Amino acid sequence: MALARLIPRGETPTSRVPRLEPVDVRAYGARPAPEIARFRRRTIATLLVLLFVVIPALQWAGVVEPYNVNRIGRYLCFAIAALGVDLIWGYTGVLTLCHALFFCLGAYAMGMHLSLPGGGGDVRPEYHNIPQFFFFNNVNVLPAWWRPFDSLPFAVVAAILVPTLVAGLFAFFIFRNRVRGVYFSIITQALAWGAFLAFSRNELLLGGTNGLTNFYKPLNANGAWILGFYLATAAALVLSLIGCRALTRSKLGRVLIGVRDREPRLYFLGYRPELYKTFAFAAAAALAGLGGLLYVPQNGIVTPNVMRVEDSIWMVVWVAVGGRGRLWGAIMGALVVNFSYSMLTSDMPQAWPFIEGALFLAVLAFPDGLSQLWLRLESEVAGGRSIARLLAAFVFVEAVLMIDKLGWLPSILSMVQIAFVPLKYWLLIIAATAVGWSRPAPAAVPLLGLAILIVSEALGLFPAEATPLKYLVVVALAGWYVARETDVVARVVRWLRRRRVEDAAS
Amino acid sequence: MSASVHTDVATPDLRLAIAPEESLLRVEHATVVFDGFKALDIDSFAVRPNEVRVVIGPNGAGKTTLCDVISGKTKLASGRCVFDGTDITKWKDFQIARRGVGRKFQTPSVFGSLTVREHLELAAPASRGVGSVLRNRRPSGRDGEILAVARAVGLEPLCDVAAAYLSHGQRQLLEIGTLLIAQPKLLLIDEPAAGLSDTETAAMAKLLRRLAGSHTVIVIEHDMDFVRQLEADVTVLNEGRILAEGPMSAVQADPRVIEAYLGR
Repeated sequence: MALARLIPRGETPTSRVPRLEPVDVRAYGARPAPEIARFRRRTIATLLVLLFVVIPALQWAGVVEPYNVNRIGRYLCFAIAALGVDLIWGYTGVLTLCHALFFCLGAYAMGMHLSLPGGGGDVRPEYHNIPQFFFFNNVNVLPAWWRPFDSLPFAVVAAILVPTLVAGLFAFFIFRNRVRGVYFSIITQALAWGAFLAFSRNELLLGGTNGLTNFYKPLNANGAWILGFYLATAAALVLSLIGCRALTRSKLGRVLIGVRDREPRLYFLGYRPELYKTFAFAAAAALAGLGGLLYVPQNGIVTPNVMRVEDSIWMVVWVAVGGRGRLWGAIMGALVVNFSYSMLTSDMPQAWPFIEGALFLAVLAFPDGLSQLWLRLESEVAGGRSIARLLAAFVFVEAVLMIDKLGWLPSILSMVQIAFVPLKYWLLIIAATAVGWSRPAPAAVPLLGLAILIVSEALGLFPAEATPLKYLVVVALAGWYVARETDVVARVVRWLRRRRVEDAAS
Repeated sequence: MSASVHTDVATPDLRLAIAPEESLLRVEHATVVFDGFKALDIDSFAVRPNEVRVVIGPNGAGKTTLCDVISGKTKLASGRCVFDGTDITKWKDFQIARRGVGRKFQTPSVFGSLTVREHLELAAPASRGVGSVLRNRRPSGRDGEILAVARAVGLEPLCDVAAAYLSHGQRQLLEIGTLLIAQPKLLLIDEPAAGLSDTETAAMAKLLRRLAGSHTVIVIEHDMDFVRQLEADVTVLNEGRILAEGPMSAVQADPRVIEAYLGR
């Protein structure tokens, strides 16, 4: 039976058409065009080289300080956790507001190991050779449940299994009663808050509000340790991404999307969505635990402050900024939001609440987040637009910033100042414009601004004197794209012309 | 409904006599109560294997409630529901679905981001447990079967289109397709013609007639032209009760049916 005969073209059903809810219209099974696939392969290869070769090489060469590599490592831990949020929220449609708790459970398990002699913790005879906070809680003997954490393998397994089990049991009992939507979110919020209060108590013997610290010092101070943890985290992120991708592309991934789109329908196909949601929630918690496990040694401390509801909401914001329902969007969102946060809070601390508010509004206005921009770029590249010159400009800017940081630029360029900014940075902008000048893929322009901002910040290349300039550049690049998209210039010109004609007529 | 035979003489009940042994589904002495209101009060409703049965009735007659009861969405206040020799009164919705009752909802309920092919993959008979689904690879090796069903409902060219892009009529057909591939013993089809154009309605009727020989189908409908096209036995519900049962022509002539439809 041909479709054409069944449903004639142009004929629309008119009577009793029920209102259709807006749904996500992405076809997950669709294969990308060969040009897009090639572009993606190249991008992935470049990112892998950047992650595993360039950044370690830069630290080794002394261009990037260990502190910055350490920070990248910590933010990659957040990206691992963000993958979990995307799994449960982006794909399964269950908004979780306690993801930071699972991150912290992993972090505490590792923190316990690092506090003990087996993990190189700072224990002293005057404090009975156990972590110091016990002494202040009048506990002189290590509690029995702390003892196994002296072994690293146990701590690692616990850091992943404990959040998984807690999340699995919690989710199972709540989903079993067919609690859904915002009600579930509120319960997760209550869980996060309850856990925060519990972990803040000294009686729990986990350090109370001070948390766990006094770890082996070189962990986050010595270059080799920092690089090692950074590489381990990057590898863990890549493996998590591969795992999540396999999961979301499997039949199980399709069931999860089914839960998101129309959960009740699944019951009548014989599925039990509550079990699938429990699975996704537990898998998300496992990823959070993995992130937390890697985060603690690099951060040097874990306190209950990281498991507040706010932190969980931030995790959701990361995914929303990157674009929910896309794994790479979650990673991109986590990195962009955290580096921007780090940069903006140091450059203009007073403005942060306003920026935070703007971010929330932006998330509402652009549901697909940054991934929308990237997808646009992909289709433009597939349509024959080039980004080669913009990439060259990007590399040029980063290279000059590195050279500047090493102090190899002639000092005369620093002496002359124009508008409170050293001349050399103005020259850099002019030179970079000359390098990048072309008819680029439009979506690449704001992405270039973002890349310069995030990568330079991540590598710690921004000199303090150039602060006004960096925002100027980013705003200009983003503004160019917005003006182009909204056709603002042409409209203003048309409006002016009309006025002139009217003036002439009168 | 022109032959208006208005009479005060009590007419004998127009009912189908179906013995318990020869029925695939029986709903007996069933009541459903919503806040004290009796939405359903059926003494006996039975369907034979491989028959198409149409349930009609005015708005609020309890047609969809009957469907809900059979598929486990609504629980009975009293009475019982026997399917394929098993009492399923207390069963949960997904258990009933696994046992072989497929359902199409009144408004097409499809998963917007999944393609036609993915819908059919999800509905194809296979274990529904999390563990076995996790191990299940895609493509599932059922491509031939999936294409055959897609062709049967006329959606073959749209196999890789997300359901959100489908028209209303195509979604209805997709729902029928998910029922077909699941091979349920009993199909509950709630208002298949709702919102369809005349051409689409005719195509749907043809599709359902083709199912008749090999499937047991309960169709709920209040589009009379469509019901006539189906050429099947009809059960008329009114205010939760069965008013009459039999061939369309006989039912249409029944004075109580006429009264229920046209009012006093």
